[in-house]
Amino acid sequence: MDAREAAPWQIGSDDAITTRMGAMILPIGVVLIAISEIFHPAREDPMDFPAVFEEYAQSNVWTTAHLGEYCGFLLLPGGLVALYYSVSARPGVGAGLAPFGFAAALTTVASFTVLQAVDGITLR
Amino acid sequence: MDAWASAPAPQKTAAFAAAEVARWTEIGMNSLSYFLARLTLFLYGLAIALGRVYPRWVGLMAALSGAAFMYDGAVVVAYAPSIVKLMGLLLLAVWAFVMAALMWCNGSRRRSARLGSTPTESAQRPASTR
Repeated sequence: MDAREAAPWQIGSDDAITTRMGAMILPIGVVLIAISEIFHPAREDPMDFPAVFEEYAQSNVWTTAHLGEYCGFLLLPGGLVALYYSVSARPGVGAGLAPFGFAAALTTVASFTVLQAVDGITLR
Repeated sequence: MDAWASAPAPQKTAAFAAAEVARWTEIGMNSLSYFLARLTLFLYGLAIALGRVYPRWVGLMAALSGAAFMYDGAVVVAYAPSIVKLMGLLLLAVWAFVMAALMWCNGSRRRSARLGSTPTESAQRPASTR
């Protein structure tokens, strides 16, 4: 057996469970973002600031909608972390690329945290 | 926005300018955040397409969705409706559900394989790692 084919074994790890958790988290994240977007005010042209500020100021669910969006954006990379473990299971070009995707996913979470702080809290 | 909406007339201009600064900061952050999200999707798509765990077409779907988003984000740094963006969003939603189904099957298969091979693997593992 090729030594590289042997699955890395760590105490307490079970990448099959991680993969299945990711399989549940990924669609939940998408659904949560979609539901939050439904409640996000979107009647006015977003680049018409006076009109859109008026609309946003009247929204009663502004913070809740952004909190929902943020939770969705946290769940999506959660699913991608699980996918990283799954893709890395077999050696090859895919496994070599996966850590870069993983790093980009973590950076995206950090960026969305700042975005939601500005959009959901500061702007309001 | 709340401060601007409830400000007395003499303070409206200053409150609007403050809200405008926050809005442009948000638009800039939005552009960068989505660019990163698209880059992530693109990299994952390539990893899946070039890997040996999942079907190649699922990876290509994610890479295409990421590339469409990246193109849109690079061209438009503002909130504007776009057919490329809409296509990218639809592809992303479909991809997430297809990927979830494949991940679930893959996880179940690997768990079954692991449980089936546990006694042999345990016997081969060094005592220090048990």
